[in-house]
Amino acid sequence: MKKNGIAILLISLGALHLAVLAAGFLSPYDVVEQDRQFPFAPPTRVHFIDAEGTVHWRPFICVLAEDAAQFGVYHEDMQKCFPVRFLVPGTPYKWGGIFASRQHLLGVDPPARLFLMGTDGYGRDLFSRFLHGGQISLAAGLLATLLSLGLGTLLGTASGFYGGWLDAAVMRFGELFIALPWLYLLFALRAFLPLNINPSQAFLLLIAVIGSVGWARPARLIRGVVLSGKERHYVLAARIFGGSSLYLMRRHILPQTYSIILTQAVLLIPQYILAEVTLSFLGLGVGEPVPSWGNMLASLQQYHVMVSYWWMLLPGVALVPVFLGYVLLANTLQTRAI
Amino acid sequence: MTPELLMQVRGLRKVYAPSHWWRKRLQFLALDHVDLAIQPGQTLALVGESGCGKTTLAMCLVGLEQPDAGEIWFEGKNLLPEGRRRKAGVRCEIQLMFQDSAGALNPRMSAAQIIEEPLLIRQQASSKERSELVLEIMAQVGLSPTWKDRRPHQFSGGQRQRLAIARALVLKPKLLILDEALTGLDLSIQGQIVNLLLDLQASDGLSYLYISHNLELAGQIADEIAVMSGGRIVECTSRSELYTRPHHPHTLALLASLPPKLAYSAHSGG
Amino acid sequence: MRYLGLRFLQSIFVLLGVSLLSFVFLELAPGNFFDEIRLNPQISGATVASLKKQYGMDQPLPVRYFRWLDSAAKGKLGFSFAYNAPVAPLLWARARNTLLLTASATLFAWLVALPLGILSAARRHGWISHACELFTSALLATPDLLLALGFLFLAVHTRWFHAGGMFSRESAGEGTWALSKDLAAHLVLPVAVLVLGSLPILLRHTRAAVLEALDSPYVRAARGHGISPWRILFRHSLPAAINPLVSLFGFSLGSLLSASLLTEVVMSWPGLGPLLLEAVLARDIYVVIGAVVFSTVFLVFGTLLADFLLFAADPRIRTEGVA
Repeated sequence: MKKNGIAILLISLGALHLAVLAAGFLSPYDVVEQDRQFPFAPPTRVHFIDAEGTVHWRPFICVLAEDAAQFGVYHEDMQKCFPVRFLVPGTPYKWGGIFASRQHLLGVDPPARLFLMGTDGYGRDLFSRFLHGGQISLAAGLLATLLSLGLGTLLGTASGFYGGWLDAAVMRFGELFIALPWLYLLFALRAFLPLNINPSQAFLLLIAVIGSVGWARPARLIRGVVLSGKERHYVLAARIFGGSSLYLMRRHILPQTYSIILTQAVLLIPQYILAEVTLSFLGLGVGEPVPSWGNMLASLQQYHVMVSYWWMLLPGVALVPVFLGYVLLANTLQTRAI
Repeated sequence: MTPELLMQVRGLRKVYAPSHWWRKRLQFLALDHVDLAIQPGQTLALVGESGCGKTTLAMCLVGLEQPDAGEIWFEGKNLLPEGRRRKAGVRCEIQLMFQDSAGALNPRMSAAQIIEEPLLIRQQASSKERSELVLEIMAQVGLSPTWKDRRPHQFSGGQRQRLAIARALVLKPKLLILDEALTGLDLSIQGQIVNLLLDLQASDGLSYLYISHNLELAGQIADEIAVMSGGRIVECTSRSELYTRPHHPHTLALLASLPPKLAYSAHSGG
Repeated sequence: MRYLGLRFLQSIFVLLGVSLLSFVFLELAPGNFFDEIRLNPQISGATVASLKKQYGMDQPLPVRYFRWLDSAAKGKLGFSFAYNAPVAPLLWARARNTLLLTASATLFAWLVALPLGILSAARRHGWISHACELFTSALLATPDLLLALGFLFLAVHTRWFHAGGMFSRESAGEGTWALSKDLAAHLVLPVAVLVLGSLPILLRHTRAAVLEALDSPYVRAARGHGISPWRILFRHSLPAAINPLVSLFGFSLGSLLSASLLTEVVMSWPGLGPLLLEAVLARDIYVVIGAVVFSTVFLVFGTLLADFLLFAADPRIRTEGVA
């Protein structure tokens, strides 16, 4: 891929992550706000042309009304339409948990409701939940990768550098982790920890569990690099000058591992995001009412939801661009390495 | 140890044998009772075929490997204390130069950083003193000071060797071990580096231990030549005596492999 | 043969290690099955205590581990609190279904990946190769969970496939042929999910392995001799590519098991997956330990099989192992 390609890729991926970071601003509603009148409402149709055929600059939506004949089915009341407003004050939130604000990018005046992705069983706006849920899932993936790579680098470097019994012990221990199918290992580890915990504890726990399961493979790779790297002549030269082991590792050996660490990171981040999504989906991860891409998909396990409410699948579909970005990035890194 | 000698090696022995109790392997005797002596300001060449133990000897001298038996005397002091565990880098008067200049220099560091690294490790000079010393040494080895921010891959092979020499000189060593340091360079570059080394020897009183499998190169700069084979020193004489009165069959074989014209010029002390 | 013996010993060690580790972890877990029962006000503390005693849960940890090992040797693998039965028969019944699913998925995945991979390597700049690359990237971007949910969605809305389960209610009591057809019909979706999930890795590695074999010097020499490309492919390159492929087979088992765990839960396939999930949620620890050890056994066995195949197929390993 040419240089432009990489730049575009990085920018798109970055934009996705930024959008998720700006969840408070971009989402029209609060995450826990329930609208009991509209459980399982389909995505709101945004119109530019009204009933009489006039084209409007500003997009508008119409109020939803429940069908008199069928329960749970909605139709639009084309008589009561409201324009979509930009930069609207709404429920307060905090940027990065610090800066308070009330501005939201989109909004409509009540009684109209802007459900860009529809609502769930409790009448909560899926779009808002999706953006906030992304924060949880992406952050979990990134932090778990950090933990995993940190552990792997530490153990792999020590193992490769010192050799001997330390190396043997670490590698045998790591083999146990590689020998097990990762999801079984995750389950076992998760089972070891308390089940009924609040969502923020669950989040941290999840990161700890996912991160500590995956250290073995990166450790092995890094150990390989260190094994050959410590025999390089410039390392030997530094030893002759009197460099301590820590100096050698910091100045000469660790820099050799940077490219492996980078490629591993790009491979692991989507895997760990997926691990969080899977665990939350199965009820072992972040729980209600905090949204995560995983637990948002959980209701699809009920037959009636799968049959009637197709928009509940949208959070899952939105995973694809994120993974695609990482996959393409990994491809590019690998071809560049060769 | 004889006081006039810079370094004397006596009875050095090194065995490579993995010590597993469940698996016996053939023990490999890398150094078998090696005796060497180097005078101050002189060059000793150590010649032998690949695998005869030359590099192992160099590693033992510099402290990267521990010999199993023997003594190394340097400037009157025994380098191998009772416990035989000698830390590399405690004595920085013995420095080592490698064959592959590219592998011997960290590709991520600039020339200035490479040269000042020994000072940084030993915390020997302030930042200002370091920069001055770097420029001084670069001039001494024939590298333009404007190149101080270049990376190793931006230099030619000969320039890289100069850079390696500069780095080795920074701590003012007394003995410089050159492990095949001239092998693989173009002939003209070889000549330049040889001249640089000889100049440095004259100005700073350096001693060299020049290790090579190439007798002809050794003959150009060495005062004494030792021939090594199978972990033993089989012959050790002055340069002229080696060509006029060689003894060991191994030496004869080495001499015989030289192109006749060069053997003649080496013989006449050129 | 000594090489294989060593690998076998290594596997035993791994199994013991895994069992010990999971045992220790799970025993350390706060809260257990009996605490959950105790929440029920109708059950008295004395009953819970006596239950605990009955199951031997009041003994110290090392004692419990050895009792478990003993139980494993006897073929029981501990006791399930929730099902009130020994763990092993429970696992076995479910494991058979998981085995059926994963075996079929492996078979089909390789059936698709091998020819496609070989073709895309043989014609490395052709349209097949590019199509495979695109396909692989697209699949890699689609997580298993989404595939499973998506297929289920398809099944529910188009009614072309069964939406989960292993047999239909209606087919109970029918003859073997009808049952087999029903089983096959239910296998389609889960197998499809697993196959699509493993295809990217298999395709990539097959292509890479064959490419590497095709680029070797001895292939060039063979071409120089005038041997036809197809003969070269089948007689020279493919046997050389077998080595990395068999190793790949060993590695892919682990991720296949994980994928099948998820797929079974989503598609209600009665395998180890749903059982394990239930046990984790109910803190039925011996079932969890048993399932984890079971999956390790399966994985280890698969890897040993791969090693054995490698030993038989690659003469280099046979001679190297002796020295």
